[in-house]
Amino acid sequence: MFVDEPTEDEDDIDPFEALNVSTTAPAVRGAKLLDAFGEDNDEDGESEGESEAITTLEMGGMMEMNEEIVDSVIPLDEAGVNEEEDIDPFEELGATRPDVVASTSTNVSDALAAFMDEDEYQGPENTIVFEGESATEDEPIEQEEVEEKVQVEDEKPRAQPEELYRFLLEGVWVDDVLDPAEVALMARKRRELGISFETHLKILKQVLHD
Amino acid sequence: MSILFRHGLELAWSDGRLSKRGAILLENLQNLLELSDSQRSVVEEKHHLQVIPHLIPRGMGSGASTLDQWMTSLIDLDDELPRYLVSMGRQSLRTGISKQAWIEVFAAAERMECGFEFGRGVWEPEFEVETLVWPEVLNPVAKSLGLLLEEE
Repeated sequence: MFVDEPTEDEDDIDPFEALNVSTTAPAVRGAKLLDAFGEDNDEDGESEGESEAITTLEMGGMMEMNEEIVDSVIPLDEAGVNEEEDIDPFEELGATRPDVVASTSTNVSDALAAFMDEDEYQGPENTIVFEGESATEDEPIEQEEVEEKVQVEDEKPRAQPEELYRFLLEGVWVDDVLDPAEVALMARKRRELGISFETHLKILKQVLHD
Repeated sequence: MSILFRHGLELAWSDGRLSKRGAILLENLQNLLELSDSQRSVVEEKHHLQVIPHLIPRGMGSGASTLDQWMTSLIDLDDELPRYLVSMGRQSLRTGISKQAWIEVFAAAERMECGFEFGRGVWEPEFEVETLVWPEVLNPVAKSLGLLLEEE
């Protein structure tokens, strides 16, 4: 006597129904999920999608479904399942809704913030920003960083006019002889760099005595 | 170091001997040019090593009189000195000024408080400079600038 031996009473009981499990094929469910994303697919489209999915399964021969099994399938409406309400596309794709993410990440961040220094903690950093939503507080921070970079670049030490002039003056004496062309060049450079003649003499002394 | 003090030494030792008067005049020249003892010693030691051994003593230090006249002429230039130095600087630029010449003459001009003027004559082409015939007292400067041959 075997426990699994079927009896007549047991044949009448639909195990799927007893377990409250949908007998809809996974491919059909997937098609329904895709329809839920589609903007054009309304209620009419759902029924068409269901029938098309069943047709596809029959043609592919992946699952032999006889009429009895098909008849045993409990319509979702009768089982008290509303597809439009229960199917959450975010949940099916393994994602969560933005508001949920925000609240969750805030909680997580708060928990992490307890282990961080108060000065270092700047708020939630991993908040997902979807297209069309504002970036809130991140944009001003980025702008400040850019402005700081520009300021740092402006503050970089540029070649001082006197240093540049000194460099040129050293070059004048390379051949150990000063000629009128070199003097004219240095006079022009003094004008361009805004160096007075007194400063020229001072730099010249430094160059010659170094 | 100082072409002017070096010239004074050459005048004081011109007959192969240095008189007491000549030594005093060199002291005065040192003060006139505002040379420190160390600066003077550099010039004088070089002169003693390179010039004096080749001198033939033939007098009693009469060079002191020549030094005195030269110093008097130099002092008498007074306001004319800057004009001459500017002109000499411009003239020397036409043939080219060596680094050593610039250093020596500029230092001498500064000692005579004419460094700025001499510098303008050399380094400022826009600055109009009249061409002047320099007085004999400035021959040491002209020699350093290459405007006068050593023999002259």
